[in-house]
Amino acid sequence: MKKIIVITFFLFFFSSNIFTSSLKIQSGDKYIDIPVYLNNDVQYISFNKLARVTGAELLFKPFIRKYLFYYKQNLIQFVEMKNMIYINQKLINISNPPLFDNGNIYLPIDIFNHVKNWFKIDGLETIQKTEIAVSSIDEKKKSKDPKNKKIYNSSKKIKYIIIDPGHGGKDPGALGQKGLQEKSVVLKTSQYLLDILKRRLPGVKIILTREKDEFLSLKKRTQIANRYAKNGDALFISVHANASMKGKSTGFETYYLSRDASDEEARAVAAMENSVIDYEVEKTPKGLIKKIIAKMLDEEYIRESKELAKLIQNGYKTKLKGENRGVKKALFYVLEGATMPAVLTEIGFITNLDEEKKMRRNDYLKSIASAISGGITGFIEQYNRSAGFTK
Amino acid sequence: MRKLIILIVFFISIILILIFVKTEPSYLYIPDSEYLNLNKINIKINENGDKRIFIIFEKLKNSERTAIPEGTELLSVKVVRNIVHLNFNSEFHDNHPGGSSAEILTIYSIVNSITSSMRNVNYIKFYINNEEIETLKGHIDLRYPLAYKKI
Repeated sequence: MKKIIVITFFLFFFSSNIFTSSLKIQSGDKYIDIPVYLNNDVQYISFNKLARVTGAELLFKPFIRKYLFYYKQNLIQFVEMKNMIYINQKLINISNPPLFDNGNIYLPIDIFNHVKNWFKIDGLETIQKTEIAVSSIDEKKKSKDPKNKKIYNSSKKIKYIIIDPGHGGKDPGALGQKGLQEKSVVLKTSQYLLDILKRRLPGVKIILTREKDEFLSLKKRTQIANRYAKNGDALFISVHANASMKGKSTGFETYYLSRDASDEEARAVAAMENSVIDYEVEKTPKGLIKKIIAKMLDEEYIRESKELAKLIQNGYKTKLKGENRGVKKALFYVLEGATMPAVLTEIGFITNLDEEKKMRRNDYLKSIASAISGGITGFIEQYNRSAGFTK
Repeated sequence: MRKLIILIVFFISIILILIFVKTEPSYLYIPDSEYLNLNKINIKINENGDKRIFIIFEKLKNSERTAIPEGTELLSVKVVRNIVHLNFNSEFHDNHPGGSSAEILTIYSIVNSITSSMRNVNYIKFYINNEEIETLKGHIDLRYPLAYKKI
């Protein structure tokens, strides 16, 4: 009991020393103190704390190394070492670059000059005028706040993998010269992949978009995936068998979705011609912000998808003998609109006599599933590691 | 004197424009011998407008290597600003072998040939029997017009 009192006393003493100044920010119907820290004569505020108090969302996107702060349809984007930040896509210069310390992000308080109307803040002017000797951020480490780290650890791990066996039902997919159907080969491979992943990744939920020979529209497949990937913490792998107009082609390839500027333009032109209503909606700021966020996330998913595609191709290369046809970009319908990293992998040419023969063997399909799973687990390791906010 | 020079310049420019229009370059994108990529070849077409598109399609269909499914016919063509709308018969879908690689070859041999042979055309939109289609055989998104892409 005595110990606790002593510790509490010390903590109290310590913290009162550190936060000799603070801002009051409205949270619900009361104002909450947010400490202001001094580092090399610059006043900083913890964005982790700000996010917690205001209910904003603070995210780190490992693949583009960007930090996002969402608050009521508003967005701040920043990166390490740079004092140029984006506020609702407008480039703003702040006095000093963001600081990172022990899982916490600090921005200089002059950020509030640009986002003043977002929050109700008390004491901003007084604090900017007075020079107060506040202890440096280094010392702050001593008063560890376990809640601070939580922001990063949530939603940072892959929790779902959606496997999509291509075609099915009335759509047999590509056909082999001896009559083997793509739909049955990819269903078997996907089921093997499900079994292997379940064993290798016990903490991850694995889902098949179809479990039997049934027709499923492309739209439905992405919908199923997006149902699970509410936080982008999922992977989507569509499994297909390839076809060529010439029986000779063989090998594995993996596609990811990537739109060029010309593709974007094509869509914009088409959208403008097709519907006036959509265009009007885009003009409202709310729609615009949504579009920016969607675009940024897209950008991240594309990078991640490319990485996943590479690792799956690596899996084929290390485990199987066939030709490695590499990673490719394409505008595939089933990859459109997936709010997660998404790839389509071609497990070989069913139109090639040798490959068709091999695809009839279950042990061959199992080794393909194992190669794909190697790529997926490699990606997950890499993803979880880099997303763990290591600095 | 000055009038004469202006007149001469005027006539020369008209002649140049005519020559330029006549020799507008046209290309076919046909599969290479392995049916993996598209090769660009030079061709000569004198006709313009819709007729030019029909000729490009016929040449694609009858080239030594083709990615156009057997029995495919181009039923109609509509040019709206820089988008060409192509309407095919159902053989375009029915006789296609499927698979990502074959689908990419078929779609982009058409898109690349037309967009690079028509100065004012940037995008191609596909239809079958006058209906919009989502994909040809389950891969490339055909709900939107497509632009030239290196294959």
